[in-house]
Amino acid sequence: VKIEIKDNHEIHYPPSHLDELVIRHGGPPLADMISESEREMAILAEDFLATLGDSIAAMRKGLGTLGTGGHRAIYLEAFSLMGIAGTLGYPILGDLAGPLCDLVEDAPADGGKRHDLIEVTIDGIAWAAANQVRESADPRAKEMFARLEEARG
Amino acid sequence: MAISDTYDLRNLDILCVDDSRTMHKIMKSFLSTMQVDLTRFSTDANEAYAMIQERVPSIVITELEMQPLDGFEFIRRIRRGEDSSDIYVPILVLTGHTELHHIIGARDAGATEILAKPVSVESLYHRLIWMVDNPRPFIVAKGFVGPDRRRAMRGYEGLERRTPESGSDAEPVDSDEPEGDPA
Repeated sequence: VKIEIKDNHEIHYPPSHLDELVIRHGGPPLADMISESEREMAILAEDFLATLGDSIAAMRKGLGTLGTGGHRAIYLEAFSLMGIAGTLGYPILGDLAGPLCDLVEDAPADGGKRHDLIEVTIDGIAWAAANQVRESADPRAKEMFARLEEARG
Repeated sequence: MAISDTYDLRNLDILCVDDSRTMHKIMKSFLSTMQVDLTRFSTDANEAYAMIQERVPSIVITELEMQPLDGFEFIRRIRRGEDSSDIYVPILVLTGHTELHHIIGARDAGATEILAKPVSVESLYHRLIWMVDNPRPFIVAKGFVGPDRRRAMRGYEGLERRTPESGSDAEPVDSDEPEGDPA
C-alpha cells in the first residue's frame, strides 16, 4: 500500500481489488436483471406475507410493555418491515412502519400517551397485509388512514 | 457509465450483514441476478466479523440497526480493530436509517457508500458499479480511519454544507486533500 505521511494523518492508496475482480463488459443486461428480480420478489412477497403474522404478533405483545422494553421490540419489527416492504411490492407497509418507529422511540419518554396511536398503526399494518393493499394511494386504505388521523388527534 | 455497459460482477465475494432473514433472501436474489453467487449472510455483526477473519470478502454490505453489535461499531471494528483482517475492505451500508445524522455517523465510522432501503436490484447494481469505478484513498488519523470523506459518497454530495451538527460548513470537494481528523 502506498502511504503518504502528512502532519496529523496518513493517506493510504490501497490497490483496488474490485478493479481486479470486475470485468467492465459481458455481464447480464440490467433489463434482464430487473425482470428476473421482479419475478423473484413476487415469490418472496408471498413468503413475507405468510410470516408477517409473527411480526405483527410480536408488535402487539410489545404494546403490553411499552416503556419497559416493549417499545424496543416494536421498533425492531417496524424498522425491519420499513426496509423490506417496499422492495417486496408493499410500500404501504413501509409508509406505516416508518412513523411507527418514530412513535415507539418516543414511547418511554411520553409515558405511554401514544399507546392508542401505536395500536391503530399496528392494526393498519395488519389490515393492509390481510387485504393485500399495496399502496397508500389505494382507495381501500382511505378509511384506515382516517382512523390514524383521528388517533393522532 | 454508459447505459449499455454491462459489468460482469461474478468474481465478487460479498458478505451481507442484516438481522432480517427476509432481507438476506432479497439480497441473495438480487446478487444472483447479477451472477454473484459467492455470497455469505449473517444476522449478527460479531459473527460477521469472524467470517471476515476467516475469508475477507470483496465487499461487505451491512445494515446499521442491529443487535447486539450495531453497524456503526461493526464498521469501526473493521476499520480500526487491531485484529482486523483488512481495514480497506469496501463497506456498503444498506439501511433503513435515512436521517442525516445516521448518514454522517456511518461515514464517520468509515463506510464507503450508503444506500437507503427499500432497495431495488437496479439501485444496488448501480451502487456496486459506482464502488468499482470510484475507489477512494484512505485516511488514517487519530480519530478516523476510512475512505477520504472529502470525496463525497454518491447521492450525498454537499453533506457537510447541509448539516449544522457536522461542525463544518466546508463543502466536500472532489479532491485527494485529506481533512485530517474533523470528526
